[in-house]
Amino acid sequence: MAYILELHDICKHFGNVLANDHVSLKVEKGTVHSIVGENGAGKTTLMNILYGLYKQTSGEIFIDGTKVDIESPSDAIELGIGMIHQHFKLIPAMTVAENVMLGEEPTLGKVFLDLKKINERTLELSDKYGLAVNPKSMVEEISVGIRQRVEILKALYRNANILILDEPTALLTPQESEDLFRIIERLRKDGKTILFISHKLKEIMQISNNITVLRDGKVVDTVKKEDTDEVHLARLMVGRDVFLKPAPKPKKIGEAILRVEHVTAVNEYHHPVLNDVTFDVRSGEVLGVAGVDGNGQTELVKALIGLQPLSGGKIFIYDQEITHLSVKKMRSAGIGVIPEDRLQEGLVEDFSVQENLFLGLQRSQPFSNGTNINWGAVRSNAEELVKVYDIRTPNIEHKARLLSGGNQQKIIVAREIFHAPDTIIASQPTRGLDIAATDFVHEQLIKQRDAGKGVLLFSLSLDEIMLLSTRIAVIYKGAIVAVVNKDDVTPEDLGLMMLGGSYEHIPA
Amino acid sequence: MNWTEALKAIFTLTLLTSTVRVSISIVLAGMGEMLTERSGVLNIGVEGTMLVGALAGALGSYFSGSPWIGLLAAGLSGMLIGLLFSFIAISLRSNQSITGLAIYLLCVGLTGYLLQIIFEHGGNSPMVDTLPTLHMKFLENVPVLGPIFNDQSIITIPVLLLPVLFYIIFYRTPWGSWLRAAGENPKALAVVGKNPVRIRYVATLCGSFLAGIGGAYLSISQTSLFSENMVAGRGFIALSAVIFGGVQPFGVFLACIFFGFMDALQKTLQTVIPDTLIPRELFMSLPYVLTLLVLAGFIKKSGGPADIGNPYLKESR
Ligand SMILES: Nc1ncnc2c1ncn2[C@@H]1O[C@H](COP(=O)(O)OP(=O)(O)OP(=O)(O)O)[C@@H](O)[C@H]1O
Ligand SMILES: [Mg+2]
Repeated sequence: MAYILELHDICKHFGNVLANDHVSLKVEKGTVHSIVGENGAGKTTLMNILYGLYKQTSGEIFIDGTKVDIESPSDAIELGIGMIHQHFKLIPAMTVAENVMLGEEPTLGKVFLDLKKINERTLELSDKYGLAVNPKSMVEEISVGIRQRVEILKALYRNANILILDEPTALLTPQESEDLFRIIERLRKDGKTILFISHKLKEIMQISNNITVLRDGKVVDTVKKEDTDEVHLARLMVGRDVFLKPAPKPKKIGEAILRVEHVTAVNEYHHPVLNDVTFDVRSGEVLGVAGVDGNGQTELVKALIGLQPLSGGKIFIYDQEITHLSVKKMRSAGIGVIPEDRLQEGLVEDFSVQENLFLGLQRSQPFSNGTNINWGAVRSNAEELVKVYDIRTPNIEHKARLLSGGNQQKIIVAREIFHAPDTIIASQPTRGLDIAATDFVHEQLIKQRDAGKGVLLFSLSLDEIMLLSTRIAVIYKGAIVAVVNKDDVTPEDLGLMMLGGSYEHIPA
Repeated sequence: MNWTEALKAIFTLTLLTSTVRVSISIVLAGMGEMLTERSGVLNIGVEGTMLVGALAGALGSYFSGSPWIGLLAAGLSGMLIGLLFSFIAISLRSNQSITGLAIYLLCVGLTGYLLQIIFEHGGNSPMVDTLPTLHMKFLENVPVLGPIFNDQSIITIPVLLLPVLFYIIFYRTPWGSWLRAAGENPKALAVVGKNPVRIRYVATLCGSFLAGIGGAYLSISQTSLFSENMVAGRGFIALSAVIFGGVQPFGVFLACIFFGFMDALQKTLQTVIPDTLIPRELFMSLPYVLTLLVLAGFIKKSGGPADIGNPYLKESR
């Protein structure tokens, strides 16, 4: 078998951190080769080396049997390598076609852009692989799923034979992920080689030919899909057995803590985004909100933390009305949130790990006496959370920016759960987390539940909703169309309701 | 004097002629700064760059006897200032606003100092030769356009065409796409194999070249000598015009002309209306008030590049 790509003993140091430790890898042409591993295992680093964004400290790369030296992305492009990054690298203020062609635009007489060709070629390429994008749309106006296709087009336009996809499904809805897998399969049949990174082992098993497991920067094993399963992979990754198990039955469900009554809101174009939303979250339960992305979840979370102006309705914590309070007052009334867009809303990237771990608590005991910060308390809090949540960082003074994607997320989860308000709003709390971390966060949420708090869980993954929820609210077109007990529904029922199907036959 | 008479005395062809005349330096600096900002670099030192250009223009003309040499010297010395700014702000990644401010202060001091040691007195340089004016025969009998554009400085017409040139560069050439990309999201540019740092350098240097020329227009065209601080806020007005014009060629151009018009109007008013009635400072402050309104979001979204003011670092994440 011919190997299109071989890595020999790749090492990469960042200061004292050894992100890749003698990584060797052989990838067969025309296959989907997945790379899995815990948060911070070094997957992104390895891919960045391959794409010329980082330079390996030592080790060699061979493409089609020839040793190559990749100094920059342009070298990588030259060698037929394309990368779809964990965080997209697109220009929102330009059109799809302009983004696809950026850097290698077709020209008229070498001086002027050939605007017609730019659009035509994008359309051609899009049609060829069934990507269905509109070349003339502005990137800022298209969905995450379509943006990803633009990234794929960018690579294809540059004649990429090896496509790297770094956690492409982390931001996608289940439906969009399925579409992506169809596209990947088509590309593979076309002779392309795919390097695929994901924490979702189900997906890995669905689309891979071969799988390489990384742990602490080292290759643990490379296995064929046929010779493994999810449980085995998880064990290779983590070094012990992990299963995502359904939460134990709630102990005691009490009174309603958070009550939302007839809440409505409109967006900047005056379209309704929340439509007479009414529900409550009770002490001792997890209320899961199931719904297809874009049905008002984002706005509902914002409304609950005071960032979404309401045109009607009321919100209560116990008997205290908090509808129009400021974010700060809402927080002190007892709402904690794990935001969906963590990099934007949850983290100050240039702050250290320890500073991020008490962000928003600068005036609370024991971190402050009201005027001065007690750095001793900040430090010991950080040390403890880093240990308990297994945040992989060289030390607590390290900048948050330098951590791996998953470890950045753990900081926020740790802080918000630690803050332990009466209600925790968890929006996609395990997005981008590895299986062990996911399991851990699930455990923590259940622990809060059993301590008598209310947990409001937003997740695009029905699996996660089914695992954790006590009751499930279905959101559709900005309205809560049903609230049901978890034990009374199947995922299929939920799926139907999420698409606007009737729910009359289900007892509430 | 009644109101109709007063208005007649104010709104004359001469007002438009002088609008064109006083706008040229603002247009040059504004177009230059727009180019710089599109690449993601905010250079608030334009005022200083213009001042250096003004001095270099006068010196070049004085010592060579040719205003053209002066013009070239102005552009090149502007570029030199741009290079210093770029090195500190782009390569060393210092805060762009503070660097711009420092460059401005440096240029004020430097021009005053050079004037002193070269001519052994402060205040003004001696008189120098100025750029020729352009008289077009065919415009003589054209109403309005004739009197406005005839006998203006020879660089007037080319300068008035700059927005067209920049529009073509920005939106019709590959380099223009890369330039805009560098200003919106330099990483997106880097991953397709282009170097955002190089593009930001080129944009800043060319922008500073234009600012230098804009300064020289004051000393070797609009007047015929260099005097200390002669730019008198035009650089800052140009900065405002860039924001006001949404960092787009025609928008910025119109904003520059508008601010030029205000300047011309203010000068005319001084001669027509006694200062006590409407203080001239009111008109002088108009560009800044308008800019504040834009920034406060009253007028429209400014539409500037998303990554402006942020340094770019390769191995960051
Ligand atoms: N530019 C950088 N500077 C310093 N340290 C870095 C840098 N990039 C990565 N690291 C460190 O290298 C290690 C591996 O990070 P990497 O991003 O490759 O992990 P990953 O496997 O992609 O994790 P995740 O699943 O969370 O995305 C981490 O400890 C991270 O903190
Ligand atoms: Mg990663």
